[in-house]
Amino acid sequence: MSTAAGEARDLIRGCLDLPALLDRIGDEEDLVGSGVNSGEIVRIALRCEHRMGRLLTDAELTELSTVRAVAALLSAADPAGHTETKVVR
Amino acid sequence: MSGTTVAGRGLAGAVGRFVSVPEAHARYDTDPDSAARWLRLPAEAIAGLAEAGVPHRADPGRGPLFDYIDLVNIAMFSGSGQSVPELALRFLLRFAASPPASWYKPRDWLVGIRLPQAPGDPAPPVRVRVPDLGAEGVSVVPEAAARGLSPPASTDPLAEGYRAVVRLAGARRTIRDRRVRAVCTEVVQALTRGTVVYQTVPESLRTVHHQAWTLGMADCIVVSRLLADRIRELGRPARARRGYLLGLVGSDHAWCEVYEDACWKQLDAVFAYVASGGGRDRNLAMDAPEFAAACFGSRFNRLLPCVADEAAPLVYFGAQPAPPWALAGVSASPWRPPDGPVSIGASRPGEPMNAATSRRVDR
Repeated sequence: MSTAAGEARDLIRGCLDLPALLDRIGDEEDLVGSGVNSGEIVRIALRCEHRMGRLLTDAELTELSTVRAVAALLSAADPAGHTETKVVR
Repeated sequence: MSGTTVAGRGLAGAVGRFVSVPEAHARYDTDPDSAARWLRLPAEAIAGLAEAGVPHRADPGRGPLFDYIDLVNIAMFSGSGQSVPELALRFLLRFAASPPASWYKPRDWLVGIRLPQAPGDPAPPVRVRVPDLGAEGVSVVPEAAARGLSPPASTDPLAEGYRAVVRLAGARRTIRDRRVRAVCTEVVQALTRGTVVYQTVPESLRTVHHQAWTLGMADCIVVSRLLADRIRELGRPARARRGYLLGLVGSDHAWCEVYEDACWKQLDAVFAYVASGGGRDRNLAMDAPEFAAACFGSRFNRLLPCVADEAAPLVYFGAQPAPPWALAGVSASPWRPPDGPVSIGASRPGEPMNAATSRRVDR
């Protein structure tokens, strides 16, 4: 598993009521289709915003449906692989 | 801040800022622990709402039992800016800040409906509404259909979930009839002034939308039905529509349509209210006058109408409308044809997707 995917999984796992659910979801599988509920998706988006220190654009939000998409978003924001949390609000 | 919980101290401050569900329509069956799980609010703070005057029924075993809708509104009006309902709406409306051309261009969406599990033993059957393929601006995407992602062909509610790709094409339009514009403006202003509070309303009150409006409470469904009635009183065909607002997820939404110039034009008073600065106390407000104006007639490529007369509920548990949490399994994402030939695993149209299934995203 790549570092980016691992970081994405850590972020997502922290947003789930049942974190173990993530262990059964592949990187490219649709999160909601795999059992993640919309409230948890909302929290994932919020956590991404905190991590990146800015609001996500509509285009970024609509793509945020898989582990791979979350990893790509975080990688684009922090290509050096840093994971410092930035609180913006 | 983790962003996953709301500080408990602010919850009681929401009391009095919205209209509580009248006792005749209330269902005091939500305990603090369940509410904490669904709304990400601290259970202790929820239990404390009983002393703050929130209507409830005392249960010696489960603690105070609240109406779920009251708790959703408390989350919305607590001013935290972090509760799930307000965040979801804020994320979903972010598209209004995009260039106007992006509101209308044809867009392909992969929509997934994961069937909720109804409570009870035996659990009642669950049925979900299907996309209205006969609606203007809604069409099947041939490349997706070839991969088994056609929307359900039936117009009847389904007893199984589905994954389907739909193409939504918007249209930039305006309402010419000044009387219709005036009626819609009046509704938007009632919400903006706070004469009527934009809040979540229980399904039983949505069916008596005039009563809800008189009580001072309205959501998109109440507003869409009220507008349709008022426009029909003017002698012009109108209807309330209900479906999904697509974006980060798929969310239950309703709007009104009026027939003019040989087509149905959309009127979205709730979008117009938010785009005009309404809901500032809930961090919903936007300063988007161009979008607010577009809500008077234009069709957006984010709204997927379902086959549901007069904004009927989208999910049923048995014969009863399902509670709001039943829509927590609706996904939405842009769809792009994958490279290469149609995959061997392509399945039948309207492929079912139930709670236990897990599928790869095709894009």
